[in-house]
Amino acid sequence: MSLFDSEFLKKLEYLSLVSRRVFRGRLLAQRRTKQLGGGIEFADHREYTPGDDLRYLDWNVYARYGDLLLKRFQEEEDLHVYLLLDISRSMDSGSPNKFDYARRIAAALAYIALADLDRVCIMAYADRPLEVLPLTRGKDRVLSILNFLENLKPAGTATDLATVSKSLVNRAQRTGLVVIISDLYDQQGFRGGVDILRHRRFEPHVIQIHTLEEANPSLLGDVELDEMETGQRRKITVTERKIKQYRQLFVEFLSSIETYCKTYSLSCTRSTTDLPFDELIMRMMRASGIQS
Amino acid sequence: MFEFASPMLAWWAALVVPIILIYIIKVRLRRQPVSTLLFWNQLFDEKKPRAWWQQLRHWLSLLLQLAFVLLLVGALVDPLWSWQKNSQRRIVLLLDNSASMKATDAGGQTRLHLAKEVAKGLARSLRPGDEMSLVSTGGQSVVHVGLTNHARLLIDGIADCPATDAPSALLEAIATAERLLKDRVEKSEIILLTDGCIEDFERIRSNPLIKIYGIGKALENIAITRYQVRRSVMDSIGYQVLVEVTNNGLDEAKTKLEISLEERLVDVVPMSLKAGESQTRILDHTSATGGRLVAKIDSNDALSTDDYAVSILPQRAPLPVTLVSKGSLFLKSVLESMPLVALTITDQAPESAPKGGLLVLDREIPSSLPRGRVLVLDPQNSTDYWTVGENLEQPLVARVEKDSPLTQHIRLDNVLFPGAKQLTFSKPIEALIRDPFDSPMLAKMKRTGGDVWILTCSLEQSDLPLRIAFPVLIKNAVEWFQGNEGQLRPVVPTGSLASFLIPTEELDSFSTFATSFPPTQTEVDEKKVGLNSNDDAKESAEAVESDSTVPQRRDLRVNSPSGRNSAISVQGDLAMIGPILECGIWTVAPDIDIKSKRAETADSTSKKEDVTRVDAQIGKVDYRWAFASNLTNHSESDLKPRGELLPADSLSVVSLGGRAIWFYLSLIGLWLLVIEWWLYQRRVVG
Repeated sequence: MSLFDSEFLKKLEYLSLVSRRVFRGRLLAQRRTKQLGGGIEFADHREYTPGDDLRYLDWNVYARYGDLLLKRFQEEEDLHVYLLLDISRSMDSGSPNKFDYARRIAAALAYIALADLDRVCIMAYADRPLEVLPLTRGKDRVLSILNFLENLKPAGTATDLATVSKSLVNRAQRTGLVVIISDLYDQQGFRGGVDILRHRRFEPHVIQIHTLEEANPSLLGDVELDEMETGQRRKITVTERKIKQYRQLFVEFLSSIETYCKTYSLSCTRSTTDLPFDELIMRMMRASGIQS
Repeated sequence: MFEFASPMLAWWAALVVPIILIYIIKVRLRRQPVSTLLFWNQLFDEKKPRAWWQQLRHWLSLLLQLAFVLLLVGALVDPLWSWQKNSQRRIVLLLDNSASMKATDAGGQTRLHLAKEVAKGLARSLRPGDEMSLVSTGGQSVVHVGLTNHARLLIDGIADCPATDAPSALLEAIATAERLLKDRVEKSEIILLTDGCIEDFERIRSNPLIKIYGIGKALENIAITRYQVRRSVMDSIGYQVLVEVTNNGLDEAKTKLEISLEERLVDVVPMSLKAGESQTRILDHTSATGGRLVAKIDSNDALSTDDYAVSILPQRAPLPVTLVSKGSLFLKSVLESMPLVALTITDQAPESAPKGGLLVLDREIPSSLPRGRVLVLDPQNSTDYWTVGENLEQPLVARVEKDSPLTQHIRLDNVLFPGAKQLTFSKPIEALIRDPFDSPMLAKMKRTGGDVWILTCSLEQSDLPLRIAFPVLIKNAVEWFQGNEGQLRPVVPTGSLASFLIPTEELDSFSTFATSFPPTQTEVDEKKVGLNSNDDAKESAEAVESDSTVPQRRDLRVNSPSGRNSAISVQGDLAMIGPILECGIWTVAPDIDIKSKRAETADSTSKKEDVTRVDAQIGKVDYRWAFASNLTNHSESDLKPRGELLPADSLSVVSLGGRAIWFYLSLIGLWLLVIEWWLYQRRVVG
């Protein structure tokens, strides 16, 4: 069975409809930019300065109070959606596969964005950007996006979100929404990368995915652990007590992600791979609906 | 010091070799791919091995496994202490199941329960060749299990040994034990498990064969130690209760003695008893109906059996008396004043005395004396039993028989009986009052149809009716006719035999009633196939009946207070039942299946009256067919041991807590296995 079969595409269509009808584009598309300009929706007044376009002078105010005030309007423009997809080798684990799961989420988000006439860019990364799909627009580009995602392979020898973020901010023509889809097992820490995006006025949204086995490992006894990403090995004796401590550590890791995102008012979604991807998207939609 | 029952099994120790080999070629580490080592690194870098023993943890695992194998081999070879090997012991275990063993000791368990646990431990510790027997001592000596090596049999016997309300029959039990061991006294012993509440303690302890192990501690107890009830000699409906209450504690105690008759409270007596003091109370009350009389002390002590005593107060049934008189006011008044007399006055003498009652004839006597019990006053004419002569010359009371119940409590010395006549009797009589010439003035006569009491004295002419002696004389006569029935039903102390006088008239009426029914279908069938084993017995019983010199054989069923019943067969009217092991009301019933007879013939109109009568009797406690039994034993109620006892714990030590050494070795081995599994297989030790 291919990654994006007809069933998957049906679900995408459904999600697209739901996002439009129920959330009225609050997730991605049709968002007002914060720039003021030549839109039609009134924003506020400012004092007239010589050289301003007289068409926007508020004659009613002038007639009533004698003040020269210029009307300002909110400018509408397309939203740029950047999908940062972690394709490091750590993602190629678990059942259901974490890498496939991440790609499905990326496909779903891209589809919804394209359906709402937003621009989408996908950047597959590990220790650096490995594959990039440049900004694209229009629903007819869906197939090329799906092809792009389907052809991705786990790669890289480490995960370095900071490097990737730097690369993105340098390449991006405009700021926009950045959705990071990753397990966040970043050897250097994921916070540096997200901070860069924040500082450059991007809007980061973090989707952390992990498998059940990672949250609750069933190891016991003397084992040699082999890290998939770096190839590093370690001999350990896993006891019941250690398993308990591991679980505690993992819970702390997840809660640290949540705390970080809350601190900087970032959207954050956590999920295990056993949750259907459409459920996850719906959950994100609901969360966004509440926030906006 | 040690010897082994199965030394050949030591070869199993060779198992240590493969264990060591497996340890040396220990399984290589599994390789496990993981997404990241981030967390594992944090986990293991934070806490590095700190203790030296953690370096040796795998060695400890090996040592535990080897110790397990060696202990298992140790259990297989079955080590014995040298004394165990040399002694093929023969033990008679005397288990005291007397009433005092029902006392609740610390921990809420009865002493008997604790003794049973110790006894079971002893039974489990039996070695091959050892033999043990179980004998209980409560009330009587009972051999529950003969000498055997079968521990399970002994343990079941110990568990089934019942508690009794009887005192300990220890001497009898010791004699039984000695008989069991007489063929080989050496290496034999009698182990007595008791609370020490026994008589002849020193004598028992001096027996070299006996070791006395104590169960329980000294406890305080207030008890009813004597209890009897009898009808009052002065008052026909009165009764006296004799109760003795003893405080067996070390401090002064206060309690209340409650007496109730048929669950109606009759009396409450507050009592204050010093340590070791016994107080006796005699309480007088009245009741014509009688019933179940209970004495109870308000005490929450360790032994409840002796806080309660029960007896049967006999019913005083009214005596039907027919007075045939032309109008003797004095006689009429005296008879009417007697509480248990149902008086009927007539002027025509009946042919016989009322059934179960008394006929009083005043002056005019029929020539043929009526049947039944007859009281005659001032006879004016002769009958078939006597001839009336002339008046006595000197009708002065010269001699009164003091020992007769008919003349008790009266003083008539030198009193004149005017109008008294010379009576010549045709049958032997017993003269109770005589004149100076030895002529009878008051006499009693025994006859087949009923006894006769005759007084020759004119009540109109003499001052006898004005004397206090007259009503006493009549009362004595009425009570004499009434007989001793309903006077005293002695309470039987537990542990003794109850001698029960069977109400034969009642039994015969039951038997007649039962045999008057047609045989049941089952009986007919049994007769047909010749299975009725009672046929011969019935025939012989009929033969016995025809021979009046041989007492009749009666089948009875005895029901204990707890509901257990047993059949007994009695020759004659006196049944010996027991020894009595339970306190309470025991009932005796004829062993006749009246219920089934009644069920089969309930529709028969000819038997309707009989059926109604039997229905009324079935399911009712008839106190004429019952007797009461109580503990009332000083020795059992005093819950303090009479002397030094060996601690029961030491018996456990001798028997290694009731188990053989191999059991403990296996247990330790199992523990080590569990510890190794928990530490290493569950990876508690990292």
